[in-house]
Amino acid sequence: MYVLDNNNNARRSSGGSGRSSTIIMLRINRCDQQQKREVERKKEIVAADSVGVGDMNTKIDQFVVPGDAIGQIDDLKVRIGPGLLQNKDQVVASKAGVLRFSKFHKFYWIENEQKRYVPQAEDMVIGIILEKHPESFKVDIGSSSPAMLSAYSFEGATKSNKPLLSIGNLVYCRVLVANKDMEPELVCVSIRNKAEGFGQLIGGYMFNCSLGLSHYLLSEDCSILKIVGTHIPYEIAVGVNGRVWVNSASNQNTIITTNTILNSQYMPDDQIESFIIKSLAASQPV
Amino acid sequence: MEAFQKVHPLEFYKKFLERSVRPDGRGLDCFRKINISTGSIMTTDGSSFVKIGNTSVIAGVKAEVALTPTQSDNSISSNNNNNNNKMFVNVEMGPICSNIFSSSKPSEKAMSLCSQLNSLVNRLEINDKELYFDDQGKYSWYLYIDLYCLDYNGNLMDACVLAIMSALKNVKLPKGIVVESSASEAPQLFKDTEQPMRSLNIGTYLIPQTFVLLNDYLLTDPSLEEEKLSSGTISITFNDRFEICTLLYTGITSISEKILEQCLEKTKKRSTEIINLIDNCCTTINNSNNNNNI
Amino acid sequence: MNDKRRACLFIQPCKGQTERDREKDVNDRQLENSSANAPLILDVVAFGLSIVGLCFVEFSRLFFIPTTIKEMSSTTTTTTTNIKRDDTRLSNQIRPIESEQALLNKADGSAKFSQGKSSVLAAVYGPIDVKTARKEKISKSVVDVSFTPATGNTTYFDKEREMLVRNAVESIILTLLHPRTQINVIVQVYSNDGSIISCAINACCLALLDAGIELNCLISSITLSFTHDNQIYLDPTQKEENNSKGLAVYAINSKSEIVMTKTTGIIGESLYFQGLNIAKQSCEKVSAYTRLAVRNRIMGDQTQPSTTTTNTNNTLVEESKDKEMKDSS
Repeated sequence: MYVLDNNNNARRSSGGSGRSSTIIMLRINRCDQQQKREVERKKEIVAADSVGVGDMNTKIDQFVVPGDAIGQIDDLKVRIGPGLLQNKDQVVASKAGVLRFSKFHKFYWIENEQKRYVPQAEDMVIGIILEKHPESFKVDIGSSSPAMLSAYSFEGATKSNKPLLSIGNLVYCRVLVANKDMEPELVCVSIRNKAEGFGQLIGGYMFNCSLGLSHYLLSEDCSILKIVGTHIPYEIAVGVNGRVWVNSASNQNTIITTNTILNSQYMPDDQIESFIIKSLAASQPV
Repeated sequence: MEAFQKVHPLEFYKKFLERSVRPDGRGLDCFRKINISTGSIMTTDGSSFVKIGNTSVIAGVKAEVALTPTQSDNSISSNNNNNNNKMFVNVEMGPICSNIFSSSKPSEKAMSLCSQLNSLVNRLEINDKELYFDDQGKYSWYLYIDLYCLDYNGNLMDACVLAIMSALKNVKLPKGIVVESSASEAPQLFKDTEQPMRSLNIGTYLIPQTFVLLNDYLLTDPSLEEEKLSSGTISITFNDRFEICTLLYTGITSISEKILEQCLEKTKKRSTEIINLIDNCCTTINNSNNNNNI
Repeated sequence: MNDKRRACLFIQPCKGQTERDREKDVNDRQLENSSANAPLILDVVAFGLSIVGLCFVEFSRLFFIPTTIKEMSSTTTTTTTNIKRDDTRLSNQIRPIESEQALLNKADGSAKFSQGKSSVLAAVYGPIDVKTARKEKISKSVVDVSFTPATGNTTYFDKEREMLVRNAVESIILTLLHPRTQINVIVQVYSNDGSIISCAINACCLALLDAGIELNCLISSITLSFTHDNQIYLDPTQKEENNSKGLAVYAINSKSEIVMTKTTGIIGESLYFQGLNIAKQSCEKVSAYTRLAVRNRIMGDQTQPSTTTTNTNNTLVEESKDKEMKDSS
């Protein structure tokens, strides 16, 4: 078991698993970021008061639990996302986590460490083909029910020219329809009807991670992917359903990339580089 | 109208409840007719048959003799603060009473009911001496109370409690003689046929009452359909000193303290009726007429 | 327990403590000090093992219920509340709570919750596909709870507990959000030393929060035992449960509404409602604990002891250690 001593250094005490301690590191890491953000946010709040989002601003980056009233929204353009519900004119949290706000999208949501994926329209996900039908595929995207992927929703697919996918193949796709009463629907084209990276993922390696990490990998302030890129050329596809696919020139490099990404949440950013160099050296034949 | 009931059962009920009446013609506070008959099964030591509306439960008590547990045994097995463990209740809800039950595995409902009744029989305040086989109390009667639900139309808890009460009132135990033969052999047990059979002296009455919450209306003595639609069930059992023996609220919505108090009050009001009902088991009391407080 | 290094954090759950309350505290303190071996009264203190997700809270002060304090000060006799239980607790004191989250890898959410020697592990899977088509509900998700005892097979007592836990848990889950799905809650008892239903419900709440299932509020539960001389004991041990006249389990959500209550044994009506008030107040504290535990897991332990409080802090640590030593010996 790992505990923190008074100076906030994680150290090992007897027994237990290593999971918890490493998470702490990540937290410390993120806490720093949070503090930075908070300072920025405070500046924003002053500016945002005129936007008219009411007292919800005061709760941004705060911890909330289900049942907490967040505040009122007067601005009709503001949207609320996962973990938030509207109860009459009050916005109420339904998950435990940190309230986040994207000023650009005018979007509130609750960030938490969850493993189960709940489909949302416009999410980019990695699916595994479960069943093959004449005109569609059944795809597992980690949600409660398998999703439907039409055979015609690939770029350039026609009745005579269908994609050649078999059971077990990986596809990178976009959620088109996500409705609680229906099975989700996927497409493998972007809004402009072009592939733009969607489609079958050939070769490489896919691993699972928490939804939080996958969101973090896609966010702007994620530096791990860049750091890895300076040492290893690689391809990556991040699905927000907690699945990440990596490919590179050699299996060793793929494994190192995978390990780096998985361990990144337990390491401070400045250690990542040395971790990669160490792994690369270890993988070289003597 | 039937289609409306099938498609929107809750709306259907709401329309009735707004007018303070239920689809079967009862008011919100009215209970169904209760019939109790006893002694109908000759092979048991005591039996009863309880009918609440269309719910019917048959209870049989089987008495067996065994060594009286020593004090130390007693103190260990006090699950759910059972202070005596000489009575065992078993509830059977087979496919005969409703199609929602299967014959293979006892349903969750039957098992939880069984657990509640098992702790409730200890509230009957039957003295240990009552169950002595011989005068010294070296051997004791163990009572196995088996309840079979024949027809399930809601409010099984009340039916079961009444069935247990009346079946135990019906129990006749013979006086026993223990003949010690030798030290190595087990003593022989005889029934003393010359002496009259004695009935059990039960310390208190149990007054059960079940309510359901449906659309914020409180319904007394619910039918199966009402139970299915309800958002919460309140089961109360008082003893005749009006102390709470069971108070169970389960449901998917919360309940206010006021409603709990209301329920307790309503149960108290009904106590004399229940006591009379058990006392003259064979008579039929129609409750629906004398309850017009709507 | 002793080898676990323990950092502590200083929380004050009742933030808006008024001047009058503080006065009450002072009164209380004086009263306590006047009696011979009374525990030193300090502010509401929670010692948190700073492992994220693993918290240990000493509720030494947390469970003085204000009503009893009032009673104490009015009657100026400490005998009524100072009756020591077998484990030297006060009648209105809860056992130390300990919890750990996300300790299972495969489950969507998991939590271990212990109250004293009662300890329960809960795992949550969901929302997933409904396995038995017969159970499927068109408008909402099915909540399935299975309760496994520490030893032996599941008996009908466990089935009843299962039903109680399911009812309590179902009331806080927003089942309408995921129609035609199933949420599985698995409760495994580690050790049972009384108040096991309450412990299970608290564990389930923590596991549900960890799984990120949409809830409408938090739930917490407490068991009270009513002794033959009309004392009310909070959070009884198995022994106290066995010797009690009556037992009552209350599950109360964070809006302070009753969602489940069950009594066994004989309890007077007024006593029951008296117990309800105590339960409401102590459930609030348990909810506050749950909140803190989840917060520590998600945000990290941010509650740094400020410079002004460090002194008291250190003494508290020492005290807790002393207490532990006593406990272990």
